[in-house]
Amino acid sequence: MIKTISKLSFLFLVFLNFTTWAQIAEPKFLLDSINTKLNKVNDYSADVKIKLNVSFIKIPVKEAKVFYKKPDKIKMKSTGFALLPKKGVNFSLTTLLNKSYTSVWIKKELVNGANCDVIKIIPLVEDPDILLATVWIDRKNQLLLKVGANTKSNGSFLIDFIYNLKSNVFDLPEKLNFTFEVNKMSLPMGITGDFDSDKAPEKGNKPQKATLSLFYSNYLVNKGIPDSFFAEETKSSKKK
Amino acid sequence: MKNILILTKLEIYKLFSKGRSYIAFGAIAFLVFVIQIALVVDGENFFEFQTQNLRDTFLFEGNLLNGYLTVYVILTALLIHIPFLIALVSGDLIAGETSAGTLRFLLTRTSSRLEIITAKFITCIFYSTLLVIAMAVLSLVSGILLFGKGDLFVVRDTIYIFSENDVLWRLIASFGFSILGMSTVASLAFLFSSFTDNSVTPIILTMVIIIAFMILSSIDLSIFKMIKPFFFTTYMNNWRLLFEEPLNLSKLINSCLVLVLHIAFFFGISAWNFNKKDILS
Repeated sequence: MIKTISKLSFLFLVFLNFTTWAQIAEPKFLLDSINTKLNKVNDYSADVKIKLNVSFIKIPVKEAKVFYKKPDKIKMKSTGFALLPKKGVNFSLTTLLNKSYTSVWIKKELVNGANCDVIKIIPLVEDPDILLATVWIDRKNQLLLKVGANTKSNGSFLIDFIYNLKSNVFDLPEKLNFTFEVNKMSLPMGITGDFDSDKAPEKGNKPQKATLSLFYSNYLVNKGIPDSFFAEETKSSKKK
Repeated sequence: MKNILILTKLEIYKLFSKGRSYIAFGAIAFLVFVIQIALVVDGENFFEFQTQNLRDTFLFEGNLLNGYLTVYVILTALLIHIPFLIALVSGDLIAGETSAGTLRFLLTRTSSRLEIITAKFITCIFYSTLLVIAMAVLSLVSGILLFGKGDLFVVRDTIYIFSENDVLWRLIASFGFSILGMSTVASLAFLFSSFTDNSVTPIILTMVIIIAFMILSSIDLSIFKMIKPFFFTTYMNNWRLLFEEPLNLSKLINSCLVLVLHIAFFFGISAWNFNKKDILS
């Protein structure tokens, strides 16, 4: 009896170690499966509500239409005036995974009740902007729940993805919370003619946490958006 | 009351039969035109350059330069200088007639001195109101025609962005608030006008007081900060509170009350002085 229990315990431990070893050794399988899933989306358009929360900017919730095309073309059309962080908001995991990288399985962690694999991704390309990315993947539902990245040009950012699995078959997020760091800007007050202020200037300029929430609805996926649609954006970006 | 109405009509007629009364309207029309044309030519580059700091971190979606922004720029630029144009006319209302000798003739009529000075004061306020309304109509119409409507981008201690449908009422309210501010200036010039026999002195005195208050307010010393609440110019600029979120309504109402009290006080002193004044020439 004792021998049988010992054998079973041994087998269980071997199995447990093997599973852990598999996870540690092969995070690439999990990343590849997520990448394959994400690659099914060639393009999409969606209505989006933009809520920016930066301590020194007061802006109401804005509505816009967002257009995306693989691998990283993105365009936003807004009736009013909207502000979006320049870096990170167009972060594409597929762009990162389609290039050379190495990955390390770190641990298991609960994110919004889902048991996630935490994986670190280190790009192996020359002079990458993203130096290190961390992804939280819900293995069971094959969903990317969280991405954190340290960039060379724009500090670090964190993106939380919230899904409504019934809303679309491609598992595109219903909500995206983007947390980033920003330094308080000192815009010239004379820009709109306001020179007098009762408030004393703040000392120091430490980076502050800011958040951007994007609420997506009415996704139209793989309907075919021509490249020319993004051309104007690309031209203006190049000009800048 | 009927007497005051007739006298006011007469005063308004007299005011607009003088060429100098149109100088302010001409100056405002010219300045609004020049600012708008300058913004058409170089506005986009100017705002792009000025917001470069923000553009390094944020992507701008939509049109920053629009009619509402140009109205705001005009409002901030001109409201500092309009007091001088107002003093030019208000300072002349009593002193001008005293020096010309027509005031003595006016007082021979059956109307009381209080009725006469009230009619002159109403004319003074009417002129200031008309000038601000002219500025509002000119800048709003030209701004919207040239640039269209859009969200308003305001830089203060915080950067405020107001939705298009939330801007027009703020601009109209700020013009309304400016009427109070300009009426205070007009009342001050009117007060000095009741004390002197030539129209240059009240104009210069009003200008000196406004410039002195503005300079002292802008110096960041604690002693000046302490006395700043006692300058009416401090409250004149509070129309800017309309472009903050959340709206500080109590501070706004308080500023309106302070200005109204100043107007009433300046008129009270003017009326008291005019009643006891010896009109010798």
